[in-house]
Amino acid sequence: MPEIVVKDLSKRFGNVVAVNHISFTVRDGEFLTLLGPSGCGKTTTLFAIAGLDHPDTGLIRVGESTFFDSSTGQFVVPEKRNCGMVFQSYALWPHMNVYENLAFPLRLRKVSKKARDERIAEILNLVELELYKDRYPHQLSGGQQQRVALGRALVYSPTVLLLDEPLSNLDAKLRERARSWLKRIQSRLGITSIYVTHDQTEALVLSDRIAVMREGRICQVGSPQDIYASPAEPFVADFIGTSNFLRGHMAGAGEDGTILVDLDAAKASIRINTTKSFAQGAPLLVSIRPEKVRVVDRSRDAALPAGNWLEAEVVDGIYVGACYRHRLRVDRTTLRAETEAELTTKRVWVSIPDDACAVFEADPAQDSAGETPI
Amino acid sequence: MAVKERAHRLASVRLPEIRKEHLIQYGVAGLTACLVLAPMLPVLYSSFRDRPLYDSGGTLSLSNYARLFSDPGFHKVIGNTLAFATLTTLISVLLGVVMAVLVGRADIPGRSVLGEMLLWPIYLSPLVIAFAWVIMYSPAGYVTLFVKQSLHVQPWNLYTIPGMAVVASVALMPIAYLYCSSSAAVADPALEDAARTAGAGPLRIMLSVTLPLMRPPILYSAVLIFTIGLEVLSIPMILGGPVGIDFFSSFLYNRWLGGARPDYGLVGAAAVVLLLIVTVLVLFQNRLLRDTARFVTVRGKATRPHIFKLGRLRWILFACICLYLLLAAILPMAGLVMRAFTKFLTPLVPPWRFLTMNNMIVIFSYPAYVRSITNSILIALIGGFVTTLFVALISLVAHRSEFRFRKVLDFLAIYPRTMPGMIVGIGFFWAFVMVKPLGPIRNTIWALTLAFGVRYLPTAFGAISPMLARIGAELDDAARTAGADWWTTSRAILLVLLKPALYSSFVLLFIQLIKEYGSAVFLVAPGSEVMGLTMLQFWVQGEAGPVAALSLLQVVITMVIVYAGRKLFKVKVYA
Repeated sequence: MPEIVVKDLSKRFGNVVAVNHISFTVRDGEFLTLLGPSGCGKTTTLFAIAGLDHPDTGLIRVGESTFFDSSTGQFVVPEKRNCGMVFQSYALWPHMNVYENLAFPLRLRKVSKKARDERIAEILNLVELELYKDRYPHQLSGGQQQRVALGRALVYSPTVLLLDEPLSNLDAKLRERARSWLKRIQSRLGITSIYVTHDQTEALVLSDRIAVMREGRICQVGSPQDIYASPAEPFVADFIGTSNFLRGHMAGAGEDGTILVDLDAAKASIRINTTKSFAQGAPLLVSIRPEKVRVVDRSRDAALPAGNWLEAEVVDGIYVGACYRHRLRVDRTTLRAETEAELTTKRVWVSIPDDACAVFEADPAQDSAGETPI
Repeated sequence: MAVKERAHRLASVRLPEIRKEHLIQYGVAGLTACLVLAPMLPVLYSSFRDRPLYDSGGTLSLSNYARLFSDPGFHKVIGNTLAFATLTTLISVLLGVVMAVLVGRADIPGRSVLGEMLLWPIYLSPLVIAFAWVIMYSPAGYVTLFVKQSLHVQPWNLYTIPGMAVVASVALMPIAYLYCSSSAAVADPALEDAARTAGAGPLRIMLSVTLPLMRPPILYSAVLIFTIGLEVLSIPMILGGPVGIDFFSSFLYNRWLGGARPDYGLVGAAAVVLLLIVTVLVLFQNRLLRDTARFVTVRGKATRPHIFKLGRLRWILFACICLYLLLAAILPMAGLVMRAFTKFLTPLVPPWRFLTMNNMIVIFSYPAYVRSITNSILIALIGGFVTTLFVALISLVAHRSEFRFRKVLDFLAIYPRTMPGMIVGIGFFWAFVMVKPLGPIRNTIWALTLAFGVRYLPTAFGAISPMLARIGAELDDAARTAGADWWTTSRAILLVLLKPALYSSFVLLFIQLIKEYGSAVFLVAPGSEVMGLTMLQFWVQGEAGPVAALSLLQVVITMVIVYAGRKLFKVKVYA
């Protein structure tokens, strides 16, 4: 299986820059997810790799073959790229039954009837649809259609597999099952895959690596763990999972790799572990996951362990099954926190663990530290 | 060394690949351009030339236009045509709107049957409707004489401009009805509910909400009907001819075929004037369509419009609609049938006294008449089939390819809408004269098939391209990534999915082509007669019987194909 190289790819639609000079590499056999909100350019990128969209500049190479190179004017038409693609709407041909949908690409490749039937049987077995061979798309459930679409994309042994939000039309329960099933098939086949989604859970569960996109740029590429634990930008921290943002200023660096941040909204400073360095007095943005925020009842007069402790008041709380989600007021800002037990008192201590925060130089133009509803 | 370097440089210059799809796309676009421009350019050219196009020498001048506009006859023609078209538009739109609101939105008994019956005239040639009306309502017509005898007054005169406008309105009302009722059927009931909660009664709602929201279809069909009113040949010829009221179409007809020597230059100039007027109207119509967002009443939510409760009034209105259908459609058609099977038709003697099969026998005993029937069927079948396939290709190239000139192609395919049938005929006449390789098909039914096909390109395009737009582009994308090139994708996926639209395009074209005669006027030759023109010819000779018989045959053929289309292909034309 080859690797996919995308270099300096860009595409404008009129005045809108859909993809803005992005570069990334998908390693041999890797499952890479392009993750971002709608309009971030992820689908345009995927369509450019498939050849369904003609980019303005850049280079797309899969293994040894160059699909697109704006410097030489080379553009390989989609039918010559041998990509397997699963579309968001599945795009099953409604006038063909399951067998014919799978046979069509094989017929185009002049595969003999016998080899074709064998291959289709093999793929239908893989996607667990042996019994539905003669059904037409409209006679199948959404989940079954999605599996036919995957089977059709795999039946001709494509060089790479491209998936455009294939699970977004399934209901929540089915999506979860389809997710783990898709992951199993992909790792069994070891096919180099690019997956496009706006669903962060899908991205975290499925991917070897995730490329987070925003406004035509790639913000960060990394393993799901990297992306979640050490987001490179406030946007990534906000988009993947939920984060609390606290504004502050650089108040000094410790020798143990920590820095001290004066919070803007509260009369307090917190100490944070970081490898980054900032100028004294620089505006900072600290992000912390709600599940990392520790909450202790203030009415009980127990001694607090060392750490960043702030006085807070419980604003409200909702029960979401696995935990309680609370909004806590800390002076002039709000923190979201998840606790196992319901908080019954109004006055609490919250702790911000020094090793569970990410800290960024704040962009004065952007105010992403507003109060967010739960 | 230098040679090697040059060879290397040459190799690095990339020649554009020539692919099969490019050949098809350029071929389709090129052919469309030729077909659409073929009638246009010669008409324009002939209007500026001081002698026929087949004569060498000659200079370009405006003399034809000068002659045209100084011709007092032409001034009358303009006046008559405008009066006729305006009156026709007013009557048919008024009728169409009233019928659409009553049948589409009010609790008139038997709404769905009445709705179907109101559409009947659309299947008929205006020629046939004109014949039928003359048989019944002309000064010597059956009903007219009947009324005259019983009341001893001359009740009406059909051979006047208002009389003609009434006949034309019967033929054209279904257009207005069709546009208005399809918009009335999908209107959002919430808009009317809002008026109702604000305190408006049913009548008030109808006048202040329902009707104003129908403005786009009203305006759109008004322009369409006005355009047809300008160019229609049958009614002016049949009703205006006997009393010498001349119209644009009959003016063209008489100046070309009437005199000893056709005045080609004058006809060319008149044709260009007509072309200009219609083009302006169509452009205006397109503008109307573009600015309709504020009338958008259809939202994603599926709803059913409310039915207005009319109380006892509904029976009175029901009776009015039935009376209209009886007088406008059923009686004249009955007259046509009676006339087809009688020697004379007069209220003085019961029709069964003159019963005869002679009219049918006349038609089937002259080869030229039989030929006009077989030719018409052949043209409608082959023309419908070929045009449908060709237009399917056009819409695939125009809407589903990366073809560089696809926007131009899209425009070309609907352009013939601005070309009145007679002008298409004149244009092709010149094209066949001037383009020598086309010589062999001149004077054959293929010349007619070509002209008819071009004239109805927009009809087929209108039947096919909306369906194509409803087929998701991801189906093409899926086929392309699976390894199919553009042509394979078009053939194996899109054309197959388009089948229902292709069937209805075929049936629609068949209905239009079997009754088409306007563009045949200048192209017809011995051997290539078509039904419409043969009827006109009989009529001029005063042979009403065979005309009625032939009209009846045309109606029966149309009914058969419409019925077969419904049964075999589930095609619902005009539904």
